[in-house]
Amino acid sequence: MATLDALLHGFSIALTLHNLGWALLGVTLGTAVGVLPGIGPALTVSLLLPVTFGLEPTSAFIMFAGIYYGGMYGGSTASILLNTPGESASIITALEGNLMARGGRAGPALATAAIGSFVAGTLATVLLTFLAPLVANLGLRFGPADYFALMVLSFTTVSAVLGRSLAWGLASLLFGMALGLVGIDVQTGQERFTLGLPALLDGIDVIVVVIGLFAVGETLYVASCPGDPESVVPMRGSRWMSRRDWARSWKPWLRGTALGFPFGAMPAGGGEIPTFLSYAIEKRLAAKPDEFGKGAIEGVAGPEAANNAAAAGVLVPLLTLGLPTSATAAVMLAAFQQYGLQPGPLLFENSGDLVWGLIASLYIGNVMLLALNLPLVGLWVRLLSIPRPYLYGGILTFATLGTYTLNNSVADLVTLYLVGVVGFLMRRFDIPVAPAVIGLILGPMAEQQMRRALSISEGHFSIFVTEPIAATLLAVAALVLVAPPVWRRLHSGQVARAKSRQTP
Amino acid sequence: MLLKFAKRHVALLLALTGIGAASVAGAAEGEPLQRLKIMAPAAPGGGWDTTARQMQAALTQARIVRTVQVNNVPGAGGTIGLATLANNLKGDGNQLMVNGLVMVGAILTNKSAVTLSQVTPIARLTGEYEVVVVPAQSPIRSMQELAARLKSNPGGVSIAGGSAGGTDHILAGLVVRAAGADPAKTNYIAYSGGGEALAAIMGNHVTAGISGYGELIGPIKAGRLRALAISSDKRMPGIDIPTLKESGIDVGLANWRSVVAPPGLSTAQRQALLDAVDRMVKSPEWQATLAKNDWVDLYLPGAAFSTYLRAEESRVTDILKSIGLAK
Amino acid sequence: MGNRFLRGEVLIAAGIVALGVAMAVATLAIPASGGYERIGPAAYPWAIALSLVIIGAILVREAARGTAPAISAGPGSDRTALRPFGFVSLGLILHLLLIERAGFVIASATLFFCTARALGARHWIVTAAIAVALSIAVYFAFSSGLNLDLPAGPWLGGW
Repeated sequence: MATLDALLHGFSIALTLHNLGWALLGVTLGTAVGVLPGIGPALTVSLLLPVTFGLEPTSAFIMFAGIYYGGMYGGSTASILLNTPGESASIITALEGNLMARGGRAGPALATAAIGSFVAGTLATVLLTFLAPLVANLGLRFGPADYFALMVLSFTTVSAVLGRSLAWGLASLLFGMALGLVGIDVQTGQERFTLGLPALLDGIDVIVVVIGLFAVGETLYVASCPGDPESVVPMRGSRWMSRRDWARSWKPWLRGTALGFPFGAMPAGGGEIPTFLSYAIEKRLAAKPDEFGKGAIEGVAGPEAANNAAAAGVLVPLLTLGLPTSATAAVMLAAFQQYGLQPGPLLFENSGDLVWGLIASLYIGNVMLLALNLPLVGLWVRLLSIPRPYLYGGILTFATLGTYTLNNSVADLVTLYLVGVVGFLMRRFDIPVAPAVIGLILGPMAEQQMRRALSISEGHFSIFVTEPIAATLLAVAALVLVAPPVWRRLHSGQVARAKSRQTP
Repeated sequence: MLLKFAKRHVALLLALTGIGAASVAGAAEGEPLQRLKIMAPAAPGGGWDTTARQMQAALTQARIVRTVQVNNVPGAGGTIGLATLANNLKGDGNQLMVNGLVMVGAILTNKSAVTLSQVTPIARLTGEYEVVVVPAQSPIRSMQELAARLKSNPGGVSIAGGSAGGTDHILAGLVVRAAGADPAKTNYIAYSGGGEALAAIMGNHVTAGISGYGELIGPIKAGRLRALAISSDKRMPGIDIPTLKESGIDVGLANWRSVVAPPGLSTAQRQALLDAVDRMVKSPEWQATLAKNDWVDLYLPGAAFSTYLRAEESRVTDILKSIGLAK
Repeated sequence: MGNRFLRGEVLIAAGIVALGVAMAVATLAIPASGGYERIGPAAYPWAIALSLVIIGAILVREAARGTAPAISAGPGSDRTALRPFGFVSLGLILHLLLIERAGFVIASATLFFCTARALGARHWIVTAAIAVALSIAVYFAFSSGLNLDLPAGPWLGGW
């Protein structure tokens, strides 16, 4: 009950007019930057750090938290409407979300994303409030071998986004993994595939690849395949979710939250992997799995909930252990230190007002974001009525702006164009794009964690079987790969038998 | 102050609504250091970025320079920023770049074409000492015990820290050598982000860890990590951690941070930068910043810094070669 | 239409094989020594290069025989219009050449103009006006509002 008292005290701090104002500014700004490709919350918070020098720390953090959550809400909008996700955690949303928009169901897609974000954000904040220390300690149990096993399990989700053929999907995955190898090897400092170019030493930024494959690839495709005039469809039917949409959305929201929060709270988890897993699970559990790939609302609701729950999860190790596990969290840690605060267990004791004010403001921020984003659905949908030449001109303006500001580097713009051409070819020949991004994100993590594990075990592969978490996860991965074909065969056998019984 | 914030808010709101032609402050050209750009050759949030932004705050609040802009040129341990400074900003007297020990190592491991001899050293500013820690559950109680293990079986002692060739790795190599083992046998587990390395140590997945004092002090105070030794030459006031030297490991290492300027500056330009930095270091604002961030004041300007820089370069080259990271 | 498509698919599949071979060649330059981990920095690159060659070879065979599952590209999109593709490409290339020389506003306006033209904008004076107005608005919103360091170019020198 001490937690509840502290939380109520936090609300008394966050609910002052002054702090509500900062929260509103934060969520508005966050939504705005979230919509734009490549300009994420990390950049915004770090740019605003100096602005808040004279501000009371509690107010500053309430605003930062608003930007952070707002960025997660805004991220889905461009993905759904324009198939141009601005960050890697919303590429999965783009898959089904954009198909829904093309089918004239942009309204329900945006609504399920916004409400799902609210549900997940709020539930995850509740978990953060009451379970933070417990979850943080569980997260620490994961060592390199366990993470490697987790990556292997995550790779199995690729099967959900393969598209028309296994071989083309794998080619796309391998292409992403190959891109992920470029740069300095973390373990040994050796250059790999840098072609002698200093700009490639740090590797190819995931954001550049995402913007290139999606925003640039999409624009090139829309421009040069004029036989497809229906790529931007005005909305048909209701702007809001129907009873059926609600019925199909609420379970994915909850499952997405259950996946996203623990992944976010893991020191090497992140926001992308739970979206992959959520999509794979929803596809498998859906009543009509064949709707996936044609605009299934479950495929928007689940991953969107997952990435918002992960955003709250990231705050768990940050606040309880002082571990920053995402770019935004690293910037927020720097902000804490700027105020002379050291996140960690002592933060709750020494700066209770700030922590509980911040946590309370997360609840408030979520409500504000829902109130802000639901009416905005109508406005965002109207974006689609902008004449296409100007719409895509604007998309590329922001895509290049976001890419350039990542590192202030022209080299990134060259990469963006080249990756964009690849994205165009993949669209042209109907090769799935999502596996490439999955490979780019998971590949380097899997490699580094495997090599760390082997270095710790002094070269003994047995570490993957003797560590209980790793062994369990590898067993689950094997089951995921082997069970469905077996089960399908059994199941289709039953169906066939049932049918043969019906037809005399 | 208030006025400034009000102005910022207006600018922010304008930015949001997109109407935004906020007033553009015109800086008078010619007068040196009406304006200054500080490049942080790293992504936002890291040590160099924080140093640059704290300099920005101190310089403007103490009214030494009117407008200070920070820009990030991240990449390859700062060597991308270094190349930009040396090649594209030649002769620009309104430009500084933050750098430090990590860049010395990165130049070697990345085989960078541009080296620190191609820029104008201004001053060493601050530093941070490194701490050797073990998980709270570890049976190792002292630096001597760790050294004994290193000597008998260096492979069995996995040491987590930052990226390969960085300060943590350099210290790991120096410690292994001083403990009497071959530095090439260091079982170093590299992590790219500070948080991940810390999690691996706290989770008891490695034998030991090395990182900066600022990053470790929280978990040490909270009892999650046990500090074995600090890399300073003498005991630090207020820090109850024995030095490596006290523990029989004859190694001292500071993760120093400094500022450098582009090449090709006139004497007057260089002097103007030295003066601005000197006034900043002596300002109460900067002193408060040092205290707040637990940074050690290692101010060393001009020629003395150039000499120090060369000495560090040769020491780092030597140990990275022994580890096998540089040729 | 099918033939053109198939030829393209064979070319892409062959490209995948070529990528794998190129990777294998570049992997030779990576030292294989692994220290305690034993597998070293070259192990993953070898595995991926090899997989690319195998998958690419399978795809070449499937595509050449025409046994690959039918392509579900959009209706009537069997022909790629090269002119709009070239226009968008021109815009992106001019943008990256201009951004640090002529500044953000000119680079972005050029990109917007080329893209809009590629997508069929007719009134080119209106398009140019929108391009310049949007670029200027974005420049000020981000450089003044968010303190972002965008290249000003010779025209907007002071900040």
